[in-house]
Amino acid sequence: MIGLVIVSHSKPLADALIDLVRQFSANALPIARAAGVGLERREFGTDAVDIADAIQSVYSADGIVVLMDLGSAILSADMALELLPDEVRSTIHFCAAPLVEGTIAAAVQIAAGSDIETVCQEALRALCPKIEQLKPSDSTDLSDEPAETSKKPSHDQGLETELPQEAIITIRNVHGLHARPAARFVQTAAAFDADVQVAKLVSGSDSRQSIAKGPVSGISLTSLATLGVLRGDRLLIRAKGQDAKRVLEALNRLAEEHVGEASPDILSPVSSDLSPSVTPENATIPISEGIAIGPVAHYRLLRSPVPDDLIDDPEAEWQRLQQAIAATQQAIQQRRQRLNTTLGQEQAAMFDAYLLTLEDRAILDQVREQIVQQHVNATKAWHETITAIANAYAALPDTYQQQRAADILDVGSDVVASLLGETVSGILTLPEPAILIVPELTPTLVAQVDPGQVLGIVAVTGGPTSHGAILARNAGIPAIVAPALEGNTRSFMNLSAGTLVAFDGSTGEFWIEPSSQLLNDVRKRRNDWLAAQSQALEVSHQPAITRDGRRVKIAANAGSVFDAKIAVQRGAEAIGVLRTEFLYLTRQTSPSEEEQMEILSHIGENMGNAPVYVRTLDVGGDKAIPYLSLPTEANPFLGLRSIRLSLRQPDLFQTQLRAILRAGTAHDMRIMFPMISTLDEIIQARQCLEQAHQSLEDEQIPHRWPIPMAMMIETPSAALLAASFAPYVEYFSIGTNDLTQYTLAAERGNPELTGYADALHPSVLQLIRHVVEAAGQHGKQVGVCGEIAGDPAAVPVLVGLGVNELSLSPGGIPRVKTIIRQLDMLSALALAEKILPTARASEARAIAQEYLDSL
Amino acid sequence: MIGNEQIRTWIKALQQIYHDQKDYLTLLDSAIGDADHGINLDRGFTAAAAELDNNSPPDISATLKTVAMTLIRTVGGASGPLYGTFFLRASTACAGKSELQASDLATMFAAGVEGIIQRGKAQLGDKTMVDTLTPAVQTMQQALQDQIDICQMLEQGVAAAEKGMLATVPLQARKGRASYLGERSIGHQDPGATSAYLLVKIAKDVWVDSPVV
Repeated sequence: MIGLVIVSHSKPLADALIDLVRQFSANALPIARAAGVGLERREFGTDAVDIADAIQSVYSADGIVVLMDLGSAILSADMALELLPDEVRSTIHFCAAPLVEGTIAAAVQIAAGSDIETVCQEALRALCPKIEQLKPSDSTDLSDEPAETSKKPSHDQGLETELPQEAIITIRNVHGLHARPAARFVQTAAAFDADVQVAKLVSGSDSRQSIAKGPVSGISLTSLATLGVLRGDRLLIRAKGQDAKRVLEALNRLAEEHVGEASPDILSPVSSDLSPSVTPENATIPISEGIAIGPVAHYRLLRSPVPDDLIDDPEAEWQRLQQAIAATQQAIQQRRQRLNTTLGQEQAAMFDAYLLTLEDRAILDQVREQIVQQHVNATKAWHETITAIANAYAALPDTYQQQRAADILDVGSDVVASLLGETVSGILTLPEPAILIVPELTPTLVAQVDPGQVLGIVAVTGGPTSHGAILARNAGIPAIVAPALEGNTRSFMNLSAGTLVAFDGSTGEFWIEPSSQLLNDVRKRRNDWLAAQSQALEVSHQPAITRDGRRVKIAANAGSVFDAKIAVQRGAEAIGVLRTEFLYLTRQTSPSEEEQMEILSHIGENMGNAPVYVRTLDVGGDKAIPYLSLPTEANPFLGLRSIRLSLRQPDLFQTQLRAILRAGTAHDMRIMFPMISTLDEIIQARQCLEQAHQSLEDEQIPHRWPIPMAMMIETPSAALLAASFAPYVEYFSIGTNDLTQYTLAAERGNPELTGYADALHPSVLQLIRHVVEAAGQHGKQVGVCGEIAGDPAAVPVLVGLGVNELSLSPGGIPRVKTIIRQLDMLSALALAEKILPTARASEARAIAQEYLDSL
Repeated sequence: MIGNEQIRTWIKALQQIYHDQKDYLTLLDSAIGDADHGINLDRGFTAAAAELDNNSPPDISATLKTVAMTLIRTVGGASGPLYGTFFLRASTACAGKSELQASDLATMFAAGVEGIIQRGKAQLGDKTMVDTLTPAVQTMQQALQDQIDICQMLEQGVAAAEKGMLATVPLQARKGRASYLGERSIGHQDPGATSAYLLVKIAKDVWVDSPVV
């Protein structure tokens, strides 16, 4: 059994804590304490020798978890490691959890027989319920206006939210709500802004009144444990607050999914005509739509175990680690480059975090300390440090942070592989197209595969919201997660290579070695799906015309060659904004004119005759582009960025302008200047463009001239002065994301300020109306290219405001076109008139939603 | 030349100075810490000196290790594992040596300070003992390269240590209990930096200024 050691400054504190622990766990836990110094340990302080003794006293091969209070307790515990024999030292896990909460959580986990990683993880998580519980219940009350805007569409529930909402769920897990499912339950409940109370109902009774135990807080692991929920028990859940409804839905879903555990004896619904061949395994999670049929290929990490030996030459070992990190960096760059060109910059950007992880001083220092000080071999030092950090992230309440845990393990495992002498490859090659079976659906894996070769992916672990899942969906690779179940002899991992399998990524069903009859049925299903897909696409290639005949142009926002391809597939009539940043990021020198021209031409080819508005470089101090030597700014969004930067870096700007002009000879390339706020900027930008034209002329290089020129309206200044700008440009594109951020003075990346980010805010809508009117007087066109252009509720509003063109992410095009076809201009105009006088985004959105629902 | 006897003298002198300066160190600590630094060091070095009397470790390395283990066991506060690590690393650095040359001495201090940095994870400017010890060690190593003798090396080391100690006054603490005070830690001399200064100064006092060397 895992041993527990408590290190404290105070002996009475440690003794009392041990008593407390005994209340929680009936089992005789191996627990020891090292607390106090001096005579009879009466004085406050810690003693490394005492700690080492305490560890020895409860040592077993299962390992030791050490929890400590503060200050010297941490230093002394660290020191104690040096005083212990190697075989003991290697089993010790220091846990940074708060002493009281952490110790109790750890003891519960140990008693439950969890492994040492889980024990530490649960202990770290022990503070989360307390933080949640003590959080001010309605912090948005502090100011008047934002309180309203921060409430998203759910505002119309009004008074309803004051009364608790209720739901009854049944727990079907074999062992009831034991530690791990309870933690999942708590995590889910804590993720929402709602007060959740849970009571166990008397078994066999249908009445909500017959409460057997509780209610207790749904976000307290220990309270939940006191309910003693067993299989088949029904729980009454009451939720109050903004997210009451959503938290109940989420918990209900969780219960249906057996609280994250695969339940071998619960059969999932089986479709009547197509029974999957092995039903008990069917506890799968659909990840990425599509039907895959093909032979199995395994992507196995045949990894040798992490070695345990100590090393003699720490510096050489440190060098070895540096080399492994460099190899990994190279592989990541390779994958990033590849994703950048296939899936676009935004998807590729997730690998930036990977690269940062490899440079993280905190991680490297910890590893170095283990290598240099304790002579731990680099593989083990790196592996343990990465695991500990990932565990710490996993224990945080924020789902984004939790996702970091998976990413850190993903990047960390590449370094381990390299240290173990395995090749860290950038790209994965298969002998023939196959369905890939993988232990986990990681971003690294998806980035490595070629969608032409990989028919589908079956992962043993993972969830639909992981970065890997998102990448798979974007790459259009069908995928499911099929957990390896206990006692399951036919799990995917055990299938021999080449076995024929099929699965449906939208339902999670799968078939192993289907009979020819079954195979035909699956093929038919696949063909039906493809036909439905192409039919939806076909309609999306028709223009978007309202019922009374007004045409709204639908364009795509693009940031890569891949985006352009998708845009054409989905029926985009133009590229409304081509973000050129992808040409500049992730490289050490600026792209040459030829390089840029080539990629732009490639995009032009994909677009046929459709226009492409090429937006000039739009970056600032918030992006790391080494060769631009961008200054670190206190307010990067208000600093030297975008057009301001281009105007100050004439060489960079000229290169880009010349590339666009040259690409314009064969394709309908146009120029768009971003983030204009003053008239002089657009005049100067135009001069630069003329200069580029003149130089090409002098060099007798063919290029497009004249070229249509457009500008982005992203600042309130540009919106208000649109009439003054109109003579200089052909077209205005309103970037509502930035316009909202600058109008409401709320940085859009700040998670605290998401309530300010709704572009349906009346102040923004009034600016849009102003731009449309000014442009109309000068006969110029207006487009909207922010996120609201793809927001179903916002589309009728924008059309009603008189916007001529919407530019959005390619994926949303079919839906937006469908909405426009249902509109009539008369009611859309009335909608705009009704919304403009409102004073809150929430009101505007409510009216817009109501209209959309009425279509 | 420094032998086991000189190391013992150093420890005894440290015991004396930390005892004499107990109230001063505690006063410094009461401004920005938990007012136990002087008390803890006095307790620790008194025990260490007594242990040396009882056991008479046979060589330099054993003497330093005895001091290390005693400090670890008895100091109680953060300075226990920190100074404990200093002497433990110093002990390792002196293993097998019966006499210490200037270079050995510089190596011993460097190893000890390296240990403190690893243990406490403090960096220069964090307002800790590192601010005293790092410049002292760097100066000694420089002096060694300049082929200056052991006496001058120690003198220059002490001068650098003193400068480092005084330089902690305007700093804001970033480690240990004092860091809880944030800006309010500015304007106070760091007690750890002060006791660390004494560690170096007393070495110079007993080895350079006294007739033993």
